[in-house]
Amino acid sequence: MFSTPTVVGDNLFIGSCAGKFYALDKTTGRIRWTYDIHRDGNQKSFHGDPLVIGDRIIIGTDYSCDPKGIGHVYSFKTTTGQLRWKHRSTGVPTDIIRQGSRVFFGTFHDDWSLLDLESGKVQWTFSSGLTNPECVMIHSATAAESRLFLSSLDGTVYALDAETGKVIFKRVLPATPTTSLVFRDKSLYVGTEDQKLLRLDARTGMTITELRMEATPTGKLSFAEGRWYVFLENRPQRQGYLAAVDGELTAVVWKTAESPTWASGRPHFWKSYVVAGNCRGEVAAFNASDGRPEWTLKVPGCVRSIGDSRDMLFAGVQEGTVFAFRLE
Amino acid sequence: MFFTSKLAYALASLAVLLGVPHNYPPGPHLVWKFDTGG
Repeated sequence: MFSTPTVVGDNLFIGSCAGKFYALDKTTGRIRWTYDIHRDGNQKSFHGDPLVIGDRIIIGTDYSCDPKGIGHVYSFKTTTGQLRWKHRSTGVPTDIIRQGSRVFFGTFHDDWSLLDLESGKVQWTFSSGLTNPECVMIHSATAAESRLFLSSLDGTVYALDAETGKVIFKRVLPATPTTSLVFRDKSLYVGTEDQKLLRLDARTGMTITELRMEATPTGKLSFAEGRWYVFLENRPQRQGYLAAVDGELTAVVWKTAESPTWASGRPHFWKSYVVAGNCRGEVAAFNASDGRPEWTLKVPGCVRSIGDSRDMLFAGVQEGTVFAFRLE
Repeated sequence: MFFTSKLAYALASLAVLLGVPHNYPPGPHLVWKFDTGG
C-alpha cells in the first residue's frame, strides 16, 4: 500500500495494490464503500496520493509499465462512493494535485494532463517526449497560482503555464532530481542525486540556495512548522537517514541514522513527532524538535505509507494491510 | 467476565508493583487493522 491513507471526516480512504479503493470507518475499520478498478480494464494498483476537494476525492491508478496495462483518474463522492467521472489514461502513479478548478497528474510515459475538476475533461496535455524503458517511478508535480512544475524523466525541471500548458522555462539541474518538487513561498524545493537539497527561484528556475547532505535525498519532502523533513539514502552502503533542515535550506537541524533505509514515502509530521516506517515493520517516531527517538510500533510487513487524523495514526504495509493506532 | 476482570486487576496491580507505566509500551496502541488482500 503505497498511497497515503487519507482521512476525510469520519472516513479513511485507502487505495490498495490489489485494485480496490476503500472508504472505511476510521474509528472501527468497517467498510463503508468500495470501488473495484478491475471492472474498468487491465489496471491493478494505486500508487499516488489522492486529492480531496470538498465532497470529492480524486485518485489515479496504473498497471505499472505493463504495455497492455491502462490507468484512470477517478473522482468519487466521499460520502457514498458515487463515481463523478473517470478519465482513462496509460497509468497514473503520481499524486493528483490541484491547480485552481483543475487537477494535474503524470503517467509512467512522462505525459502530463490537466483536467477540469467538475467534468474530468482534458484541458491540455504536455509530454517530455521521452520513453521509460526501465519503468522509473515518476515524481509528482507541484502547483503555484498560475504555474505547474514537474521534473521529467531526464531530470529537466519544467515550469508550465497553467492556462495553456506552454513551457515558461525549463532547466537541466546539475544532477538528477531524486525527490518530488515542492512549491512553497515563491520557491521550488527538490533533492538531487549529488546529495543536495536545492531551493530554486520559481520564476526562473535558477538556484537560490543549495545544501549539501550526508546522502541522497529520496521520496517526498515534508514541510511542517518551519522545517523540512527528508529521507536520505546511501545505497552502496545501505545506510539511510532522516534529517530535519531549516526552512531556508541553510543548515541541517538534526539527523538520525537508519539501517538499511526508510521505506515510507515521506517523513510524516504528526502532533510533535516525525514518523517514519521501514521494511522491518517498524513505525518509529522522533521528537520533531531535536530528533530524539520517542516510540516505535511494530507491524508485520514493509511500511510504505503513513497517514493520520488528529487522534489516530494509520500505517499501510506493502503486503496490503492498514493498521490504525490511537495515542492514549 | 468475573475471571477476566479479576485477572486484569491482578495484572494491573502487578504492573504498579513492578513500576511499569500504565501506558507501557509508550506510544499509540493498535485499534484495528484491515487487510486489502495485496
